[in-house]
Amino acid sequence: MKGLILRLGLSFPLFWSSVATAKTEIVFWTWNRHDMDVRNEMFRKFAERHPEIHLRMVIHTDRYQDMLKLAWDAGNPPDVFQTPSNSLIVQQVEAGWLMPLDRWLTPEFKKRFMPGTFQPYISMVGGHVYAVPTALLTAKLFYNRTLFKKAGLDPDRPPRTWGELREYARRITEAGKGRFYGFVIGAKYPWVYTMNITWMAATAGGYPFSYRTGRFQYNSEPFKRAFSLLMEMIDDGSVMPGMNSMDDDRARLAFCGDRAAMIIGGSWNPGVFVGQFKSDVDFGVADLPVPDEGRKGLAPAFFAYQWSISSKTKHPDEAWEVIRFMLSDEYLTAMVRAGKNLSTVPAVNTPENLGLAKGMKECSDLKYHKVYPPTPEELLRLKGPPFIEVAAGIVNGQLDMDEALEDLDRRLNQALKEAIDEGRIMLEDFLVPNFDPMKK
Amino acid sequence: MKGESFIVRLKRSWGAYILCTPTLMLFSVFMIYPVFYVIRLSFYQWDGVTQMKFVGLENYIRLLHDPIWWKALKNTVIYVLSKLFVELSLALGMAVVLNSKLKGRKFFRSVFFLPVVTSTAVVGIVFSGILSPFDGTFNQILTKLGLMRSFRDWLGDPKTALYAIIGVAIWHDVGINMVFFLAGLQSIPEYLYDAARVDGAGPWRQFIYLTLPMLRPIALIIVMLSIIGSFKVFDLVNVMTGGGPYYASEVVTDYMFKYGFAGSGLGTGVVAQQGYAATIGIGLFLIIAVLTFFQLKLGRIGE
Repeated sequence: MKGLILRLGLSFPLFWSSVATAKTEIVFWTWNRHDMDVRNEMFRKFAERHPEIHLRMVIHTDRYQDMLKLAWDAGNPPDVFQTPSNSLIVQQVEAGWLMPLDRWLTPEFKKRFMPGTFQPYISMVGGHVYAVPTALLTAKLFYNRTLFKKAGLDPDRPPRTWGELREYARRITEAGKGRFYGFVIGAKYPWVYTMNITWMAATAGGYPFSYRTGRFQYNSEPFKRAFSLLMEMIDDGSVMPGMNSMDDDRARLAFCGDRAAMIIGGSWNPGVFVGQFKSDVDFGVADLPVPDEGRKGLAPAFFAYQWSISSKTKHPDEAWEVIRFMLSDEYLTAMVRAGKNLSTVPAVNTPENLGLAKGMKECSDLKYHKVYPPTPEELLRLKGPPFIEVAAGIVNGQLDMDEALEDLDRRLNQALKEAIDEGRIMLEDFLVPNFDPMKK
Repeated sequence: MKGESFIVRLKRSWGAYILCTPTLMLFSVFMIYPVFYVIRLSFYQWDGVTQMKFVGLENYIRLLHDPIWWKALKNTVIYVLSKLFVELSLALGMAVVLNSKLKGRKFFRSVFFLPVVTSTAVVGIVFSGILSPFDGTFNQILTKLGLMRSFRDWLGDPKTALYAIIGVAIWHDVGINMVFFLAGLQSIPEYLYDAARVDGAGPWRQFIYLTLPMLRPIALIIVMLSIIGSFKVFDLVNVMTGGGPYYASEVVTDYMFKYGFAGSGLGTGVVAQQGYAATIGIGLFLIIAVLTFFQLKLGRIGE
């Protein structure tokens, strides 16, 4: 009944669009808005070369997963769509949503991509490839050179250690006298703690899931130290006031408006600062600061922006034609040159291409980055607050850090055990016996 | 008529049944079916994508032992009671004043009603700006008046987040209740006041012994609507704080939403737990149903 109603509702506009044109329509869904300008331009070129295909782009940002599920319930899914580059892809394969791409992915074709692009729980499930990641994102510290100068700091010498980060933030705040601050975090929606705690903990050798023992380990020194660092900076008064009522966009706007000197974020930020905010902020990009005694782990890099084909599409070859175009050197080069992301095809990441957009070259510096293996965390039915909420509770003094992290690990391990018992997860898939956070 | 069979009644009033059919069909599809669907869902474990799994009463047992659910419920009750006492008293006071022969009362009626027609999401966004601790107007006014020394993060402080939302909600909704009370006040015949004045009752005694009892029927409806509406609060909380920081301003509907819908994008991707979300919804439904039942019972006493 529900399916019928949804089907009638959602298919009506499609009916008219298909009447209007005799072309093969390929519906394309994404949650990426920041690279829309380049994508539109490239899709225009695609349309010129493929007059037989009518490509219709739909962007859903906030509630992408829910909209996608609704479209599947209605029996009217998109032909090509973006899939999550983590263990959640398993869920979509289990639901029978995705078509294996193996028949098109010849060894020659796959050779163009950097190692690790095709790996289980990111783009592969059960030995089949279901998606091809096109971007590699990195974790970085962005700093405002104008404010560094105003505070008497060298704009070419960003903080390298946690101690320096705290000290710089304090000095800049002091110089700002309430007009600007040393550090900003927009924690209204607590997912930003992934960047400000998990990524920072990585440099101290911390990662949520032990690949050796198969147990969660948020309750560990690196995480506790990352929490302490942020809380000390808040106590110093160096963090821009209002962090809890500000989302990441507002925090980034404060950074671009010379109100805050440092922000932790992903390599998508230059594209947002320049492309979306149209800001002319004078910013620098640095590797995440490491603990004072030295680096104990590499910062995370992530595969992202991957595309899959619906198992229900009536035009698989045309759908693949769209993906093939999005994996072409031409398309990926346009993205890199516009500063949208680092490509998973190394041949495209040339210094010339990377040098065109501000900050892109530094964002693409992979020297201190590694792609951490996937964890089962996304697939668990966790009872109680997830890490990001617990992090908010700790930072705001609502939870005791030791107790909260211990409780979180206990609940995660319990949920993991349940998933294993139910046969939903094979623990062996996530174990890496010789895992070393300092090795690539 | 009593005792008539359905067939006889159908023959006599078939026209009425035909006229009712479209509405009944829509009501069944969009109201009755979803209600039963949600009840069924509350006995299952489901991520919204893969196969559903029957788990019996597990979700209900989990709900009873979920501290965040109790926290959200407590916050919701605080919200409901604040709206009930503060907002309705304000609305009644404003209605009484604007029912008098005050100069410019039509203007004030419109002004006080204006927030009601503004979208809650827009109100949430605008007030997030006004309450902002960095450059928000509210902090500036309070500090200029000397009431505060430094700026405060009203929505970001766990101690004040919920009350800041309540304040905005009252501002937004007081107008509609004022209009309801105004309608009630205008239905009280003037001659009753004349009689009271002849009997020597002053304005206060007139209000206590005449206005309030006469407002009783409409007040009962307003109170009931206010309670039900407040229990269902979602949009303002979701837009202004997202229930945070760490559930400090969490309400039941927002908590249900978090489990019902999977996040998207970086770091927030988790599997939805729609069975548990349905259970949270049923919990809220039961509470509202029981409250409404007792309220209607109480309302009849002394009628």
